[in-house]
Amino acid sequence: MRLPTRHYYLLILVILISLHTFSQTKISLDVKNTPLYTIIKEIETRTPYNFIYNNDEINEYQNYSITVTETEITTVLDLLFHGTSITYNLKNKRIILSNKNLNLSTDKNSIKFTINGTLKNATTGETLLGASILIKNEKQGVISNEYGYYSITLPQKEYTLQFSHIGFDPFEMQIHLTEDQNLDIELYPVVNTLDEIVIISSKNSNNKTNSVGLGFSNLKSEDIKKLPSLLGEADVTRAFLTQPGINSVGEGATGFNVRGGNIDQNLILLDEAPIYNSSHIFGFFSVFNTDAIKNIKLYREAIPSRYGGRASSVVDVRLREGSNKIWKVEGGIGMLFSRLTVEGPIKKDKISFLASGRKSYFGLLIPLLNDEDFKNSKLDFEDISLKVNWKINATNKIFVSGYFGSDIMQLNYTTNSSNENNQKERVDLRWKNRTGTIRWNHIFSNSLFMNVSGIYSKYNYAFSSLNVFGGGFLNSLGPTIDWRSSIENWILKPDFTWYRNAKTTIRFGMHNTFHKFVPGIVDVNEEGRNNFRLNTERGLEIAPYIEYEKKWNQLLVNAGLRYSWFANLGPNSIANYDTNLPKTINTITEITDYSKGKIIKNYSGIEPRLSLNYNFGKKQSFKIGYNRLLQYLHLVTNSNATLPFDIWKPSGKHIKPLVVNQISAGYKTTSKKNAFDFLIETYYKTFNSMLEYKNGADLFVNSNLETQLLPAKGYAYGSEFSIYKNTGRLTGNINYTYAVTKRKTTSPFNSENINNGDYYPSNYDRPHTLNTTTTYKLGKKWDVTLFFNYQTGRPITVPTGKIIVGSDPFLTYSNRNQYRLPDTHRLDISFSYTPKNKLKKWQNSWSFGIYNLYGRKNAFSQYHSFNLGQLETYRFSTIGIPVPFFTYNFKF
Amino acid sequence: MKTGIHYILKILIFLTLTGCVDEVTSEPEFDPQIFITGSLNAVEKNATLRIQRTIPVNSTTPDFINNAQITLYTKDQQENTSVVTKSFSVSDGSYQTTAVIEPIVGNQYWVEINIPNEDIFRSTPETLKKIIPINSITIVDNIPQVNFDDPEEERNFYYLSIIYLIDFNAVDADELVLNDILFNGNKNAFLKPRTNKFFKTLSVSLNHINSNTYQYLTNILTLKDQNNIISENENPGELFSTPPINVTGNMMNVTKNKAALGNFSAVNFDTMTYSSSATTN
Repeated sequence: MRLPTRHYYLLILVILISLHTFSQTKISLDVKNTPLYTIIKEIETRTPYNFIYNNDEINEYQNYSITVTETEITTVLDLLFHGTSITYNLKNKRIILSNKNLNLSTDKNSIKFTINGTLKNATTGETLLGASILIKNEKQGVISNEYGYYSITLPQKEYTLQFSHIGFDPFEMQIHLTEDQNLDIELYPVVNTLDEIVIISSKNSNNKTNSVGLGFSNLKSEDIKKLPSLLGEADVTRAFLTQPGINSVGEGATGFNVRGGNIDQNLILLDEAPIYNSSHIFGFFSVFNTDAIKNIKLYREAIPSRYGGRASSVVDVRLREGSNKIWKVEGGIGMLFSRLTVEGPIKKDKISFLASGRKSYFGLLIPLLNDEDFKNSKLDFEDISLKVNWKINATNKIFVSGYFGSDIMQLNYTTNSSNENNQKERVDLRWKNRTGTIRWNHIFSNSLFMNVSGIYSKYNYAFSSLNVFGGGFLNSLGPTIDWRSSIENWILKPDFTWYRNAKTTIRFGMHNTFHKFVPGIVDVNEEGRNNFRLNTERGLEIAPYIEYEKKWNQLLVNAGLRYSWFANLGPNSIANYDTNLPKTINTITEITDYSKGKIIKNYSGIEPRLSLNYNFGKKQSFKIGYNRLLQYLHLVTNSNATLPFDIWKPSGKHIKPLVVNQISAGYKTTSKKNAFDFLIETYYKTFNSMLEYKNGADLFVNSNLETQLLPAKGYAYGSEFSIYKNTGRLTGNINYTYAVTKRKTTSPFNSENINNGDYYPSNYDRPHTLNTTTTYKLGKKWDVTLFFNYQTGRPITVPTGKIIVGSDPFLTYSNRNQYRLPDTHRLDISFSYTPKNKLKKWQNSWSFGIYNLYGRKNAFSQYHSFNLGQLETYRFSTIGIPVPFFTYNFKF
Repeated sequence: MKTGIHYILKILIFLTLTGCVDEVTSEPEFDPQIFITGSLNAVEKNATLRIQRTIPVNSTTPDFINNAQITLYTKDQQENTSVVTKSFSVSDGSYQTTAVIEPIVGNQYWVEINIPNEDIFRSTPETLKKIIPINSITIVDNIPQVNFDDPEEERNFYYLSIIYLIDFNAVDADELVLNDILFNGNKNAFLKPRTNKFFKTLSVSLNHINSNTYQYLTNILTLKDQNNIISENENPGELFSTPPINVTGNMMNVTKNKAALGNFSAVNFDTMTYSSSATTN
């Protein structure tokens, strides 16, 4: 009888568990030179026992002889197989045979089998991505992929497997690998109380699931939630800013900058769907709801070749799938937001769902303004994340997820005019992120895994304004306008992973994206004005890739190659310019019309990626990496902080793709008892074909944006130092980053170059950054977390002179970013109180604290005005006072 | 002038109760530069320039340059280049052609300025545009609206100047710079300022300008707005401010091959006067 492979492991488990229940039975036999299968059949007929064996291992046609009378079955089996390679195990009336010689065979290494399966959370049934499967004493192991799947191929032998994942109890098991095995493993969380801090145990602080890594950061919702937050809302973007190599222009600015890259160089993926505006309320809050997030991985360097399209970093956010075992509800009530998450099995262990939403209630506070101007105004955001996970069978799974977020600001107010004839105006501004992802996981064989994703994402914004007297929202546009703009993507992404053997994994696929950009549809309902539509642009991006990961003892190599091809497609009308003059409206020589589907301009490039990681024993590792990335989309903005209605523009006839090269190196060591991790990383990056902006660039409602742009290049370099304390009551980290990022415009016409074409610091060039995050467990119920940040002030441009025209003084300015604002620093504190309700299903916790504890006024910008002919200088601080917060969390 | 975005941000900052503005002392280094601005006036058939050095920010005495040598050039549509004049009178840094010149629509004009013992500057050639006539001035909700036909064939740029008068005394003014992206080819195109002001008479000029001058005047008006910023308890618009704008246009320092402060434009314009009883061109 052949044992089905996937049952083999289960049978072994059952055998082990029930050995103690075995009851002996006696039998008489008298056979000579009889095939084994006959003897087995005889025993099965005359006793309650059944045999289980793999006939690839056991030669059932081999002849045996035995003569016994009323003998215990174990003695019979001992006599029968004495002097042979066959061994047996008994369990629940089952006799399991195996062949020990296979383990001793001289060619055992040539016979290999595959262990594969999925790692899950035992409590919720959610898959565990990034979990470690370690072959003890073999220096081999694999990591589960984004879907919790793993596969490892090994020579037949006995092994001890260790399954571990951060925040979960490791699980070890021994297997006798004589055939392919499917092992779906469930791990139990270390702690399972609401919002409680997971302390990395010494058991796993040196395994690869550790969040401390060279060139990347793994962020968990639990870790993000324990950070002090503005107004109590756990914020993913602020969590990024605690990591080395990441900074921003200043408090309240949208997005973040990774190792000298602009914010549009971050590929932000939510279940693989690109997010184009990652913030609510002009950058104050992240669009990501931490309750719905399973994992966030941020790559700063050596970006795997399966990622592309942005040049400096990848933020891969994965939504939770929802428990497929029990129904759960959790939520929180904060000062200005509330959130609620519901999850559970639609069909137990088969179909689960998760729905998680947040809603702000800023609007309720508007009456506190006590200002008639703002009566009937709205100011709110909301978002919802949905996911359904269907395990069709052992080899097929379907995931469907979506995100819908929106912001709305509707203001009715009064402006003052010189003759006190006040004017009523109305502004309605709203923006939305929508994504939808459908994924199909298919296991072709034990070693070949496939995921195909179909993705749609759309970011759109709209504003309308009404000024009954004229002038309008942005002054010069007109009295009444309705503006709509959007960017849409349709993506098809087949991705294959071939677990070739225990040391080699090959991943390959193709990333296909169709982009549609609608930069502006403007309706002006007034005689004397035209409705206006900025030309829609379309782009097609195709990028096949392959990754090759190989382990040689202490050396891990991940080499990848991505080839990307991008075409800007018609229909469109494109201006051509006199190449001997700077691009202006007056230097247009002709307009070329392109028909639908016609390639206006295409670019392509090879993007090699390489990462070499060498482990010196278990405690130290050294890594070097190189990556080259091409970026075909550009966020066109020259403001300090980006606005929701900044324009995304594809590469085309006048805009080349951005090319970034980065080399990096890092060293990591772990202390003897795994209490501390120390990391040092350094990098050098170059940027080619960046976008910069002419002095006074007019980017708003401009059908010839290229006339406002300048080509640029730049470089960035820096070093990052990190210390992590992982164990004990006191945990946390200290990160120090020294970083420089500079750029220069490269127009052939020096009259339009910034700073005469010399290098100058970028807006976010802040050489020294120190972040410390410290959590102390005060007891079983109380935790306190402190976060401190110190940074060099950002570069600014200041007045260095004045001219007088008529009676009007006008300032003249220094070279771009020649001066700096004062250095900034801030201390936040948060407390977490979690009462223990062991007997009650209802669990709750409180978190509260103070953001900017000592009320530091960190200057975001500096501006000037004239008062009686004298220059007055002001510094604006986004958050200049201590801001208390609290949140009540519950779960049942 | 506050815009809608200002109000949105004001309410946001109010709700978070966190923003603040502090006045600080600032003593930036003084970096002297040459500033040249001027125009060829096709209606008055002259060219004027103002040349000065920048002065420290808290100084009130202009530093005029009176020894500049100026040459006005033109290039006709057959690409023939010629000197229009080198003869300028000067007073307190203001230069004006001494003879009547005859600007021609379609020709390009530029100036070269040699400041002895310093540098040579040159403006980028600008084409003299045709006049766009003002059709009428109407008053809508107490705001003057300047009506005209916008030509369809090309992108047009306008500089509108309105002087508000009471009893023949100028009491206020408005300046507006706009391109025709929202009214290209519209026979009922109009320009109007954002707010209303008291007046009895209006003196209006509608200038048809080039794109470089449009950019320069936009920069000038942006700086003018910044001058009028009044210290407030908060200024959240600063969150989204752009890099400070220098008063650059089409002027080049050819000695050092770099952009210089200033601009020289070739402008054609129409004028109209409006009073409550009559309108005259």
